[in-house]
Amino acid sequence: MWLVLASLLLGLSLGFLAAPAEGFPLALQIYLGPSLLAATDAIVGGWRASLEGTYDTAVFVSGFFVNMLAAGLLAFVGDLLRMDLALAAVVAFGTRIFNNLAVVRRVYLQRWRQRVTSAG
Amino acid sequence: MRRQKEWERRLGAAAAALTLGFLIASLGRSILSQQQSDFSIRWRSPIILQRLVAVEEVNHQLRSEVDQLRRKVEEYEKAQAEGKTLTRQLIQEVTRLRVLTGLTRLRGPGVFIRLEDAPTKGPVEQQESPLDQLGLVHDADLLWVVNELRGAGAEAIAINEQRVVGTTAIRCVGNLITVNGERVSSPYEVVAIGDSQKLMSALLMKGGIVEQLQRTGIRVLVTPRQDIIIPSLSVTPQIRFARPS
Repeated sequence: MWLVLASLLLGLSLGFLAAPAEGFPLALQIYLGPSLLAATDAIVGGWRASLEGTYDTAVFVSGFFVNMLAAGLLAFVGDLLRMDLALAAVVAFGTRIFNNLAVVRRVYLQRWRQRVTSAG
Repeated sequence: MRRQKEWERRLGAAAAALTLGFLIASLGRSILSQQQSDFSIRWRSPIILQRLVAVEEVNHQLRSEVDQLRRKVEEYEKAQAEGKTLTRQLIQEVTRLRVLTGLTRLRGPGVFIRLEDAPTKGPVEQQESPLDQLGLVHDADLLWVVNELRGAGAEAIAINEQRVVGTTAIRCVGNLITVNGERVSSPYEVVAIGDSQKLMSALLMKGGIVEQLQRTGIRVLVTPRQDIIIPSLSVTPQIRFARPS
């Protein structure tokens, strides 16, 4: 757990250091958004998988990075074609994030209820 | 197997966290700096606006200055043009004065008068009677002719190629006549530029100068001419005492 937190902090500081003072160009920000969404989706997905006991590190890591790159690429291609293809990524990942979050919520709710009933 | 999987799992999570952190940080930084620049623009805009107003004021002033300078240039040009016309006027005046003072050769219509002494009965020295001197052209006769011509509006007069102007003296020196200090002798040819009709009638009027001169025996010939050339003054009069006042 500490390793994860440390990695997050390292990533944050790296990102702050790497980003130019005036910020990334607007074009790059357009690619960053969908990538971030994909990463979030992967994390929520991993969370759900770990709760359900179906977590697979290879699936999680590959999904995390491939989806992230794909989202960025989609935004890039959409920019080239003058279509907002990033919207597809937003819709797809957004839906999945909500689905997974719903599952996670239900799992925790179930556990809480079980604990309450067992305690009661 | 189980332990390895746990380690693997932690590494994967760490990698994901690292990347996520990087993404969030860079995006956040970008958004932050953008907001900052927005803020600074909002903060600076009144100052920039003030500067703009000041610069516009300066611009306005400079424009009015340009207008003023243009007007000045216009005035100078006008003055120059006036100077040119003044110069032209001066040249015209000088030309007019040259005509009147005899400093230029002149050409124009007028009259030609030829006065010739009557054939002498002998050498002048032997003529004792004043009556014998009748028929000779005297300086007074020439003066009279000149006076008549002037009265009739002659603009330029010459006697035997000697220009007659205001300073010209027509005198008798011994039995010779001098005009401008130059000797002239019979036949005397007086030319005058002017209205030839007027000059002719002035000379030939009944009881006029020609009639009276002819009565003394002088041979007088008067003819109008279309083209008379009058030479300029042979000497330039010196002005030593007279000063404009």
